[in-house]
Amino acid sequence: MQPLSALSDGQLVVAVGRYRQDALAEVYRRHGAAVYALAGRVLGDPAEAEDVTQEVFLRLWDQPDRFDPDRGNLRSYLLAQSHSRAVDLIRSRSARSRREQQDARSTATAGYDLEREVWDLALAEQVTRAVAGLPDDERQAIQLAYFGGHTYREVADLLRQPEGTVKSRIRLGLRRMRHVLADAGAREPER
Amino acid sequence: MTPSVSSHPDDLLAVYALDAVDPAEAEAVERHLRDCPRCQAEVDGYRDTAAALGMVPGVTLDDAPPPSLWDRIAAGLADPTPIVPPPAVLDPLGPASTGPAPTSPASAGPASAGPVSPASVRRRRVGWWATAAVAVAATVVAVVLGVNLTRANDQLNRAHEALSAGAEAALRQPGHLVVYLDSPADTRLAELVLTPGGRGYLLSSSMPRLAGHETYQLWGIIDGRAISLGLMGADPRYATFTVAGSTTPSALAVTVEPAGGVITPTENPIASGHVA
Repeated sequence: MQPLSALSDGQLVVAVGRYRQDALAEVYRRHGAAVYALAGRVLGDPAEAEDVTQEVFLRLWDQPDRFDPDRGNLRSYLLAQSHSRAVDLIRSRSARSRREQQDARSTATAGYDLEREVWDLALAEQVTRAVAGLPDDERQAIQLAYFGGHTYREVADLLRQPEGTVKSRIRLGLRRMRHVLADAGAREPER
Repeated sequence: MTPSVSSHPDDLLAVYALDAVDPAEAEAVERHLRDCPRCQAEVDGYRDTAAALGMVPGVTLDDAPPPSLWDRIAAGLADPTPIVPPPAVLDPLGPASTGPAPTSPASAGPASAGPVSPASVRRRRVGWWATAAVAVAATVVAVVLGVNLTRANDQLNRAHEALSAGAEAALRQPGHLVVYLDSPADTRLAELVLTPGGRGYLLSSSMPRLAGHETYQLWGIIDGRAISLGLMGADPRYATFTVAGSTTPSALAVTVEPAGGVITPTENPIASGHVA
């Protein structure tokens, strides 16, 4: 039998569907730190980041079929879940102050520790370059939305720009990044 | 239902992918996505890019999840057939210790051998391990401790450069420790650097390439226990690992193990060295 560490993410999720706790543990080993880091970065609170991480993995455990390998990789799926949940939390906070603080350090460092760190280090470098290559207004809008957890309307308010402008800047910025990353050959290692 | 082209919410897809829409808009987009693979693919693409964003900038380990997080997750699993309790610490000195408690019938069969070999199968606790009075711990403990090790993919030259840069940066950090791993015959087989923050890099290795069914496994001796720091592969040239959330190991050691790794060292180390 193949060791779990040799299985693809997709195969692991299948094993998770068969209630293999060890498969979930392997998924956690590969992606847990990234899930936690993203939630922590959006929320700025380690305890809440833990809650989100737990939710994301319990959800994968309960509903592994929600991950469709044809639609993207597991990392992206888990990070999307983490982000979405973190944003839910941040929006449910009554106090806005914390969030405003968050904006001020929306470029704060994210920490993570994961199995494919080698690749991630390289990717991080490419992404850094891709982000740096964005026009300021696109970068700002994306960072406020993604790391600040703001809706595009709130971003428009913050930047005093029309909503439509903000929407298209986010779209253009993401597309630009995508092309840069694709050109740089940023892709996951085969496993 | 096939939506007409004009109904594609093109302007909302990117902001939706970033969770930056109001609930009503989110619902409308989701309704549309159920029937529109084209827009779904676009959203998936934005999400991939967003996921990459989550890794930038500044890669540090300061925010690594606490070791207890996996315990918490595992405890929350409504699991009808528990197979592997991941954070199992084995006590090799206890004769009754037979590895992670096989609490379910499912774990008894060979098909459920899982990622690690049962400790009881091949345990030979002799020589170095015994004289060092070393207790052993499950490989999975490494996960819980936030300890892990990365094996580089040979194709990833760029990744290797980044890693070399990381190793060089580690060497420039005040308080870093260089650990020399020597064979029992005092041949130097590898050099590693450990930062005060618990990050380690392989600096050089002359460990011979192993057969495909074997792997080098790195161990840290922490509080008298051998904790797996991870698998280094059959031909380690680049590797990074972390010793997060625990004390600095007093020594590092490398064993040759079956591919996939083992819970407890089954062989004496081919190389070891004290962390000064």
